Amino acid sequence: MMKKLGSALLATLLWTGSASAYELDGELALEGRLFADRGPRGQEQLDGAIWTRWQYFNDWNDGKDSITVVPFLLQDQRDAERSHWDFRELTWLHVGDGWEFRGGLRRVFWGVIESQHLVDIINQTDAVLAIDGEEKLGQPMLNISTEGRFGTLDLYLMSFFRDRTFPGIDGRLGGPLVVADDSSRFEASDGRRHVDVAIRWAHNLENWNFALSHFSGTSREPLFQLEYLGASPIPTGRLIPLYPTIDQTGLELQYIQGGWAWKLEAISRSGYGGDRYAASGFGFEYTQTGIAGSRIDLGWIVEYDWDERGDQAPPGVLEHDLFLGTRWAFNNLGESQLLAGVVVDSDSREQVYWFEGSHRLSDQWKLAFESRIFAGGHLPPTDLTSILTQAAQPDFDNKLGYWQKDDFVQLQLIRYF
Amino acid sequence: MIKNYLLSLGLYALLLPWTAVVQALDAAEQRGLEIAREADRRDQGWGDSSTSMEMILRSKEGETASRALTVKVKEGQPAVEEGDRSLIVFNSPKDQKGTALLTYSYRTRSDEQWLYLPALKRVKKIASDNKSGPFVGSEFAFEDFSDQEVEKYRYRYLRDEPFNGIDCFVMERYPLDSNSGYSRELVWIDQAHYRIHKVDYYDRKQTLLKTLSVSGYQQYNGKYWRADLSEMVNHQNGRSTSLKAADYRFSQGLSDDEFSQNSLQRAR
Repeated sequence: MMKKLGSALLATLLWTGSASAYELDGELALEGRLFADRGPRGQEQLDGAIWTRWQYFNDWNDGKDSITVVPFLLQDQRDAERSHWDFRELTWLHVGDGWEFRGGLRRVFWGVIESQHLVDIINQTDAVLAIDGEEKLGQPMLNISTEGRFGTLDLYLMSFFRDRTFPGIDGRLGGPLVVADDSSRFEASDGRRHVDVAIRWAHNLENWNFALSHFSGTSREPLFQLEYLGASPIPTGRLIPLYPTIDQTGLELQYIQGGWAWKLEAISRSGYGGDRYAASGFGFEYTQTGIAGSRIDLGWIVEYDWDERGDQAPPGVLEHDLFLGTRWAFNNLGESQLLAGVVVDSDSREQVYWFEGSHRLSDQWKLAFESRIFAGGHLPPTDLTSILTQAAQPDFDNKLGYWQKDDFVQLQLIRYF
Repeated sequence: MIKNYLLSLGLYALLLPWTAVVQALDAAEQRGLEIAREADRRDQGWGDSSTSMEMILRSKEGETASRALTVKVKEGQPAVEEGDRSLIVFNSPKDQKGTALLTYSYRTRSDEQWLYLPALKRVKKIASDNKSGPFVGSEFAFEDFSDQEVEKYRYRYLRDEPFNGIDCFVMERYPLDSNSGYSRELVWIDQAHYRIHKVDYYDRKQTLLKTLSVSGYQQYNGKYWRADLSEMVNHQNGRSTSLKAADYRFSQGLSDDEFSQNSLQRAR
């Protein structure tokens, strides 16, 4: 179906290509990741990758119709699972009078906070690319958006579920067990063909902006089942992703006054076994322009993330965590930027340090830097028996234990075309 | 009668804080305000405009960087709180292509601004009070790019003086917004067409910060004057930015839909 949709759209594209001007832009990047230690599966410390992303755009009918195609391709030096390609976008857009129709593969972002993306649910995370959940796979959808005095109302109809990407046996980051993302299981009987629906209403009122959303369908966030693979020579297993059917109601709220932006995201979600649960992230970002007479803008970000499940929430979930961050904009010719921060679990004191920076070398070249450091935990034994013991009696003060060997720095050199 | 007068004065003060100030203007302030109003009056009725711009940033050492942007503006109606609406879209540098800034300006209260980040498909409402910060690393501040409503300044006429052989009014204007990076601006406006030719910006410490020189004025639709070149020189850090404008178009009938949350996400 994806292929059929693709060829139909490509045909339209070629046909329109002859009628009007098009735009083509590309990126080609070399990426290197250096880890502080070998991984829990013995993975290498140094990994290289090359990736490219192109954007083709064409419009006709006085700009009322347009097509956007964004293919993405990554080749990783070591990990065959990380090497992949995708259409980030393959969209037909039609602009009407106060409404828009968008059909095809698209990326949609919801949310206001920085420490995590709690409400954002339309797209699957391309987790092998980035740990922050900001890289997404293109989601097949039909979307109608209307806009007026009432704000913006979006309706989404989605299907052809995209599986979350996971590193392979040689890939990083992650625990001692490989995730078998080709053996996903679904709560919905129609599996990947299940139809998901979503609605979102967003509105701006002077200093306030808010959005209410509801999603009903297959969760983008899997649970994991352990599959036992045999006892010899040593007991081994792998993780099978299980995607439950969920209902999630989300709220985004932001109030801006002076240099202050007060933010809140909250969700209520059912379908993860047991009761409906709530989670929230809230805080502020305060921006100072021209600190100490310089031209640097400095932003201070303080957020608290909470999950009703507390310690029972899966590892990686921010269940009682404080985020402290600073955002630097140097306002120089290359518009250098830096985001540095730390997430601290207020109970276990586990910490994750964040560094993200970029500098434009010229109109064609850019350098990007990223690093994560996991602290305050220790790597538990990685044999299957210990993993099973750990799963039965989790150590809530060491939920990031399996990431302790995954401290890394990543450098990207990007060429724009 | 006196009571009525006070009542109306009080009401005016509530509705338009400005009116109360107007009562107390001296002759030079009154003259300055009249010049600003006349400049504003002569530039009314264009409806909407669009233009492509190229910005060239120069460092003290002579390094350069450029940005290409398109700017669309829809004119606000006179005497209502809603001012102009503008949409600025970046075409280069390439890593910023598609980045767009939507601004709703207001006569008295703070502007509203949304930034669209195409890499994340994220619309971010931003604090427009940070107006004194550099715009995309240039010597133009955000406030230099926003709609300069008459009501947002106090004025004082100083003298008549020729500038590059053109007869000008020289006046001072004082931003009323405490978030402005400027304490005062010295403005040269020509007497024939009320066009700005030069502005000296003084920082909050009353030191000369920047000079804007505007040249290459052309008249469009037989009425509206727009400059081909604006040059901003920062005297304190030795940097400068020139802004070249081309392809001005007026009254194309741009609708409010062109300045909406949805249009921000598909702007180019």
